[in-house]
Amino acid sequence: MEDEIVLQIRNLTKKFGSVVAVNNLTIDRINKGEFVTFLGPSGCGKTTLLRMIGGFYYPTSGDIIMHGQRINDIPPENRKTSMVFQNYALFPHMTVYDNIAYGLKIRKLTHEEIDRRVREIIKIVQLEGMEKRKPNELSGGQQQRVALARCIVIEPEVILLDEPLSNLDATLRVLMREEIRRIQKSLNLTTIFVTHDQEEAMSMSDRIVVMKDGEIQQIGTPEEIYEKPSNTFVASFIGYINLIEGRVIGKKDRSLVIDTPIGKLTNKNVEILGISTGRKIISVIRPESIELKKQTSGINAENTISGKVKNYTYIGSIVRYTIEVKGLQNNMIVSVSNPHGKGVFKEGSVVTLILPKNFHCIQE
Amino acid sequence: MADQVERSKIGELRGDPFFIVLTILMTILLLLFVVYPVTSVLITSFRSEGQISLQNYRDFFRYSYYYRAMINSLILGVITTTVVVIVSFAISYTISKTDLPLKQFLRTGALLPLISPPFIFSLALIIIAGRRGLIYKLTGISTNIYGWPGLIIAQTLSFLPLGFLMVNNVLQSLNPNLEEASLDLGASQVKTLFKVIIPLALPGLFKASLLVFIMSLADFGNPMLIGGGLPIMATDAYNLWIGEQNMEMASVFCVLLIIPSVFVYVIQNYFLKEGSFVTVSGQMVGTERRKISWYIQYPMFLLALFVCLTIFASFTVIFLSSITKLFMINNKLTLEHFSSYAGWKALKNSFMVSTVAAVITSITSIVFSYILVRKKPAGKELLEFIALLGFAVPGTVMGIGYILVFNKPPFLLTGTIAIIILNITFREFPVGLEAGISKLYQIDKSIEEASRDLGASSIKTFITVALPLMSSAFAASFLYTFMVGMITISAVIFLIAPGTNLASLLILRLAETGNIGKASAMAVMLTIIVMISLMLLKQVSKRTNVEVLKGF
Repeated sequence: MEDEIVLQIRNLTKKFGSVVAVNNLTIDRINKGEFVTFLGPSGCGKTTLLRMIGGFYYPTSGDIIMHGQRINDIPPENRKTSMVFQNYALFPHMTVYDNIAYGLKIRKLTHEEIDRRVREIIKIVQLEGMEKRKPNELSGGQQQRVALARCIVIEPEVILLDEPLSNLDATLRVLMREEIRRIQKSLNLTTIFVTHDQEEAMSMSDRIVVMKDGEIQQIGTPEEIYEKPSNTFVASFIGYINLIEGRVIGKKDRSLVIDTPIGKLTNKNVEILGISTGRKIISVIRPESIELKKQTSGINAENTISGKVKNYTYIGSIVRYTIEVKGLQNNMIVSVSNPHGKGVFKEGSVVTLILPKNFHCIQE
Repeated sequence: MADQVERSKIGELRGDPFFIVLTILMTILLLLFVVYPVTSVLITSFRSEGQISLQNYRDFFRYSYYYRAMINSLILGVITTTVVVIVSFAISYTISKTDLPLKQFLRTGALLPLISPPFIFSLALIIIAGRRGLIYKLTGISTNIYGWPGLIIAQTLSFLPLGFLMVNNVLQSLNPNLEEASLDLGASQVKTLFKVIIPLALPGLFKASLLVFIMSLADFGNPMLIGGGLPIMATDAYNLWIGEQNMEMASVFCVLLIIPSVFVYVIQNYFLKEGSFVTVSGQMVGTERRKISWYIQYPMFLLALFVCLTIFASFTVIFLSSITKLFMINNKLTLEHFSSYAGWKALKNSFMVSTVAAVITSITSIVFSYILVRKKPAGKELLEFIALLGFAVPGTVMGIGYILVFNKPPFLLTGTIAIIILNITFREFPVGLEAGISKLYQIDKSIEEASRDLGASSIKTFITVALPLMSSAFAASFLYTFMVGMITISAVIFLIAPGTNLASLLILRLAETGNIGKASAMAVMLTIIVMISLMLLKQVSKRTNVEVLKGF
């Protein structure tokens, strides 16, 4: 079954004076029921993009298309989008109930209909019993739920979430993450979520749009973004990464041979087999894909190098090592999971790093 | 982040016809009721025998009976300002640095003039030290308080609250550790006072001085009551107008009054926004009160005490004179002063005028502040400046300006109640505007965006979300305008007509004609009304953090 396209962005640009906040940006499609995250560092234009979709900024050029119709100049009140603001923007002079009912009252629904829908949504966001309270009598998490309820009760085509979790403490954040995803899935809500937190993006999204300097760096599923970053920015923005520059020097047994400062690496990754000899290439090796062993004898196995532990961080579920490797300016980062019982290599230990045989590469 | 402020050619008014219309309407009103009158005064001042020339100004500086008013006003301003700042400093210092008693008494005394009509001290001084006043009765020594001494004392007491509030604010915000550091480094207390405390407080003191100075220049009631014929700019402008029908020369006086006021106002609002280089760096550690040398603290304490006692005494004699047949001559208790028909009528007028002006001012200023802050119309700064002008320009000028403009068609309004209401409205409009603006900066803009997002139009958002949240600013603006309306004289004295007399003006007239008992009774009534308004106002400010008395 073909997915229904809800939203498209075409060549969208927004300038504030001479500052280009969003630069000629295109997103082919956002599908019905999809959870899409705009991810990037602050100043990357993600909030600007979101606010243009919501109607709070008018684009300088380009198109925002909803269900095939250009909505650039439609004011926010007439758009079928609804936003959860970073600080929730609850009406402080209204009760929880009135906050949630606000959009419905504006739509002049019958009193019974409003009541039914408000009660229903209050149940979904688990705020029963709080109806009569004012926003300042609620905890951060509860305020968050009211904001979400107020947003989805009017049944918008697209809900927009502007870093809604950034004001919550760490534990609550993880909880609300799951909560939002649960509600979003159960109501099949098309959702755009803005965050600078890569973990949030990874754990919630169907697709992630990674942005930098007003431009899209990559669009893809969390797996694609993590495993096959399209450039070094994406690679380093999501999680820890080892980036090793090198040059393709030949092919052998359906694998690519890459010359790097730490020696020759062979890569069985079929997706990059087509890269021609002589090309500059960056090997992308995630810390957890490296195996760490005690140095025993000389190294001659494939993709195996020697290093010295510079320092390590014991986190519990993993140990993250910083390892000095000859020929490499930066240190290598290696994570070993489930260290419990395995023991830890202390600073100064000489170790063997077994790099994967199949890894992602970025062409310069 | 780049996405903070949306700025395009027409700001956020785009596609918002309702607010565009409102903006235009407000602009027209401001032009008509602020800019036009002030400009008319300016133009009239250059008009001489049907021609535009500098002749009037030449005359002003040629004849001593014109220019000595300016010299007197300036001298009075400088003296009043100096005395106010010194007394304010003494009171603040006693309260915040010493461990002497009577702190609450001193504070109350310093703030008490806030609840009185501004010329009440002139009235009290006449009762106490007039030709046949209290002092004469008690000691037989003949005193003449009219003229310089009376003016300086009356103005000092009238403007003390303003000076005290500002100076106290400065002293409170000084880092006590700096003082300790100075003492620690071996400086004596006197040296610390003059080398550390006063220099650090100087910018704040300077700011307070400027405000007191222009208030002294603009003051009308005190020179009128106790000036004893001493030429003073504000009252001479009035006399030139009423007595000699010399509107050109009156306008020259006005222009010369506007210049320092607007100058100071611009400095205040655009250059001294932060006010002082009070240095608070690092963690301030609470300090214990130290023993201050007697030769520092007692002179200050005695000065503070003397002034505060004078203030209490003034209120007391006013009260006594209002409930006695003829104070000090016939001390029989009576309420007859409170039962004057003209008095109640004037009070009713004042009440009506102030209430209507307060309603209009609070509504328009809140709407306008919303437009300025949220809709960012083109020329926002200019509009705000024009609005503030109504407050900065001395009342005498606004009074004369209004007559010049509104005594002929198409805006024939002189003699009506409307002109008085409009005058008060546009003079106090900036206070409501500032209250609205300060409140709006406290309200997160995304709350309104959320409303728009949920489908409410910009008008609906304004009414259902913004207005309720601004209700405190609205209340503050209402109460303030009402309060000022009850006690104002300088501008409205030009605008009243038979049948539209106001309570504050009636006091002036009664006092001038020696009807001290009745004048006192009116003053007591006004004081009570103002006191209630002020208490309500304080509640509003306290509950909602809206600044109302800023720059007052």
